[in-house]
Amino acid sequence: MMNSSIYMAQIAVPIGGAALTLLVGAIKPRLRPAFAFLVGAATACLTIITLAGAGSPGRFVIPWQGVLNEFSLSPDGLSAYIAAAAGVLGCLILLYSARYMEHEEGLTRYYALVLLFIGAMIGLVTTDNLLVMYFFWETVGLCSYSLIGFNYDNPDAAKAGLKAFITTKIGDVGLLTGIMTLYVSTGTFNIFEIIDAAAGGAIPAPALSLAGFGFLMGAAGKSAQVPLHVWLPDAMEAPTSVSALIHAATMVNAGVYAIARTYPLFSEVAGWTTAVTWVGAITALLAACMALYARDLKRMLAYSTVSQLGYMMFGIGVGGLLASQFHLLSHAIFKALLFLCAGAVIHEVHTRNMDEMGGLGRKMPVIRTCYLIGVLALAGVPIFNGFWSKDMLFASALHSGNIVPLVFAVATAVLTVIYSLRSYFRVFTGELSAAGEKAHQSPPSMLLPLVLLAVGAVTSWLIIGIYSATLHQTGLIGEAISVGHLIHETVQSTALLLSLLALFLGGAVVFSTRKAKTAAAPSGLALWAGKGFGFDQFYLALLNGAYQVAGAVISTYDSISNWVGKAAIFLTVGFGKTLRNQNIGDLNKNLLWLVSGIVIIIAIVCVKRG
Amino acid sequence: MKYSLIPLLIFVIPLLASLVCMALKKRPRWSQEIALVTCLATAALSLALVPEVLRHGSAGIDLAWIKSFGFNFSLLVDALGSFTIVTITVLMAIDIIYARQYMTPEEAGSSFYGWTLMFMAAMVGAVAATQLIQFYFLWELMLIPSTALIVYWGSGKRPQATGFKYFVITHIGAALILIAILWIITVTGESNIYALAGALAHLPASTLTVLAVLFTIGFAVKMAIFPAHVWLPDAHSEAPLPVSVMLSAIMMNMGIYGLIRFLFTLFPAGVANSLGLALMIFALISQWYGGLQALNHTEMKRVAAYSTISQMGYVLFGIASLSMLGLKGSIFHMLNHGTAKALLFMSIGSVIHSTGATHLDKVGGLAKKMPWTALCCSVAALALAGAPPLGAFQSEWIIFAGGFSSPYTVLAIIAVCASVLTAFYVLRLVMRVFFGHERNECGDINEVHEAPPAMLASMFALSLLSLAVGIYPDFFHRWIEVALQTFGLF
Repeated sequence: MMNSSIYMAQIAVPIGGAALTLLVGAIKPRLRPAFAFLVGAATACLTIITLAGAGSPGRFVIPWQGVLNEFSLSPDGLSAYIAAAAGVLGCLILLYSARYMEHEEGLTRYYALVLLFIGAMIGLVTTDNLLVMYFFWETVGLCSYSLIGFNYDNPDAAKAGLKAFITTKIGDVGLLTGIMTLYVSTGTFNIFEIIDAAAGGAIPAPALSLAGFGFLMGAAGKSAQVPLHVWLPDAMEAPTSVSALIHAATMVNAGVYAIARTYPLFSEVAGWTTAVTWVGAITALLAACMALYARDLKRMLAYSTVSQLGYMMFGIGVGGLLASQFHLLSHAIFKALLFLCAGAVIHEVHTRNMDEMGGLGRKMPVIRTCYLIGVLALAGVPIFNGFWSKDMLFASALHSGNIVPLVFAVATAVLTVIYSLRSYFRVFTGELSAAGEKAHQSPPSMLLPLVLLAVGAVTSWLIIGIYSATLHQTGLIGEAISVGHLIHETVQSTALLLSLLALFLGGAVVFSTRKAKTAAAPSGLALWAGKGFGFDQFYLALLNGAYQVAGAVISTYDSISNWVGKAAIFLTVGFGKTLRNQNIGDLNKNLLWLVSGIVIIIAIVCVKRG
Repeated sequence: MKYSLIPLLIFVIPLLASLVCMALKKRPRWSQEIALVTCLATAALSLALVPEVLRHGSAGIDLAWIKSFGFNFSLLVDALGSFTIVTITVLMAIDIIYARQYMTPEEAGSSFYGWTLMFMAAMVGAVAATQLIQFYFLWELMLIPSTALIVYWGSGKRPQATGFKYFVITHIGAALILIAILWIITVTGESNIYALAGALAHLPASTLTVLAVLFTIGFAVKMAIFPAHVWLPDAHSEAPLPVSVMLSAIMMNMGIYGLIRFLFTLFPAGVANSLGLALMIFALISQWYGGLQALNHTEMKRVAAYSTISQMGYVLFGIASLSMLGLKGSIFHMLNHGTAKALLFMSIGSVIHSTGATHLDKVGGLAKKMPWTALCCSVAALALAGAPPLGAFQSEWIIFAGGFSSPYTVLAIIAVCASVLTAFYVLRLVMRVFFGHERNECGDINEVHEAPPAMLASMFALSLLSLAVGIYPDFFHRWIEVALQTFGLF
């Protein structure tokens, strides 16, 4: 057990750094990138040091909300690795940003938000307190809102930011409901105490089930699962470095993490694992179809993220916690790599449309190689990290007997091979496009992170031994596996056949259609897929409808109440007028009223007496 | 009760200063300074009272008043009272700083500051009042300066009509309170709010229920709960901006204070229980109605005004959940809603001040020209949307937790859903005004400038306050816990 204040440090350093960035921006704007990178590097070091003690964590606690709640941090095997991914990838992205963003305005805001984003993500995963998690969960949402809308004078970016915030907020309704239900039934926010309480039967079944599906809804929002995935493709309006941050290092991992964290709590809830499996499988397949027909390079990568996140959900659903989390780490590395490569390309050719790219490989050889490595990892080609984790996912599904979702997953794998390889060929091979004439190789400070990530994409699977040992120590998985064991298992398993089949089929399609430069006119289905299967249009129609109905109800109510008010005024004024007519100073009339009043009172008194 | 002069001082100083301002008819500049000093002093004194109250439970002073009737003029501030008073005086001080540059002393005139100070004195006095009659007297005193401020400085087409509507409708609420107060005094002969609980316990349950309903409706009118909200949109949006802040961010707290104080200090627990479900439903309607209306309107101040109706729905929901958590959240939300709403109005104010536009579809892309205002407005919007690390996050989750600990889980989920609506309408306001292409249909876009320093300073102060409460709410929690211990109901 190590000194627990380091847990606070790994949050305090980036968040404090974010605040100091504002100061640096005010005094010496030139130093902002260097300062932010240094803070990022310090954070990365802290998260790596934390990894060492992750098996048997200490606990950092300060009072936070009176008797209700405390601010506690206690990273275990599951969370420390995700925190490390956020720290390390965040640091590389900051290094990359120095040159990538150098001509942008508002860099103080940019660096401060990126650091806050990293800090909040680390906080989200390392706390064992659901309320603190929710606090950071929302902070992450806030950062994504501000960073997606970074170019606020672009209306599309501003809208995309709002869309991301609102869509994830819809998911958060579920998450908050879940957290509050658990809190009210157990009186604590500590996830481990809640798990123990549930095991002891302290939480009534309906409450547990409400909480379980609430968490799934929250995770679907944050991790862009169908039907709440619509914000992620639009989020590509952000600068590409931000996309890398959202898609790889932070945000989207949060949902998968939350589901993995609460798996022991909800796995017995009727229908919960099935729901998680199916949400994942459907998301994976639908998003892969959308990616297949996307023309925009970043949009394709965004759909690909949605699809891979679907894999991770699917993995948890079929009980493959290790496989799912291992895929999360692999994906974080290769998706950061792909986005940063895409950023370097877009930076040079000033378009995101893949049709306008082509032949860039000769101009940018290092980027080409890095991108290829990323693509091979994404496609699941053997020895790249994506291969091992995807294979483990298939093996888990086979082991648990979820055959139909597995078919979805394998179909997704085929599509993944097709779209990822195609994108490589479209961007880097063939004839040099007009847009690429002036393209240059990127500067070293942008290449360095790419090369490091490329190395990671080839080698990261070698940590499986330590990783599984830590998860095992934490008590999340039954047994740890070593690298040798992993290779042995993989080579022997049936899942390998599925992986290879997917590769073969996908590869066959890509290479057989490669020569046909101008493909046949896309079918209706393809167009529909390219537009994201009309989810956006559907939601827009739904919102419009709801808005119309609400407007009609409110205006009807308003006119009724207006009418009632007018009637009341009319009556009051009329009554006043009548009354005024009675008090015109005519003594006779006044006397008449006075006397009749007295008579009435006497009459009442007499009747009462009698 | 600890003997302390401060409750008297924070009531008398603004009252006297108000009279001085009124007297200095020809010297608006002097009045401005007097108002500033008075507000700062009152805020400082009310903060100084906090440690006393937390240590001793309550602090106050007893003075003989209408001896022949046995009424004392005694002031007492307990933890709930001091939380309300600090919220009122601190926000008021910040608002006065803002008003200095929003209106020139000549525009405002001495009487503006006179009425403002009287308004504050009445609010502070009503919170500290211990006698029912005294409370009612000060409650009504609150109405006069606020109506004057709306009528004489209002910006709408017919400020008189708006002021009249405000006066009459809130007066209906006050009349119900008066009926209940007189009823209580005649039946029990006791008029000390803090001693009534024992006296009331002997009354038949039906009488108690009727009394509780009278108080609840009376205070709900002040809180602008649907369907008694009708006075609010006009009054809050047509008042001059600093007054909108006073009404929306500050005076609404009086309704909340009154409801909590009377419902939970006076009545045995069973009485409130019978009202819970009905109040919850009205709270939900207010929440959604206010939110949808805010989405429907393009006049910026009106959006903020409807948002207040919606936010009061949150508060009432917390109270109606009849749980320790819900009540705690509602009390905490006084401060957080006050801060966020004041900030929202002020940033809208600096947009109006700078562009002359009052509707959000007349401007766009102002973030380049007024970056700090844009930042403050975003902070306000995100706070209202319940985003951390801002203060309202802390109170909203407690309100929702209160909802979930009531038997009506479905209603709690509906309340949580309203937070999406809230996020949507406030962020839409920010997006339409500050993001996108630069334009100003009401003037020259190149003449748009950042708000002047005093206005910015007060906006920064509120932003920092919201941030500080959101990041480390521990102190406030302990404060409110002391307040809740005095109820000891649940």
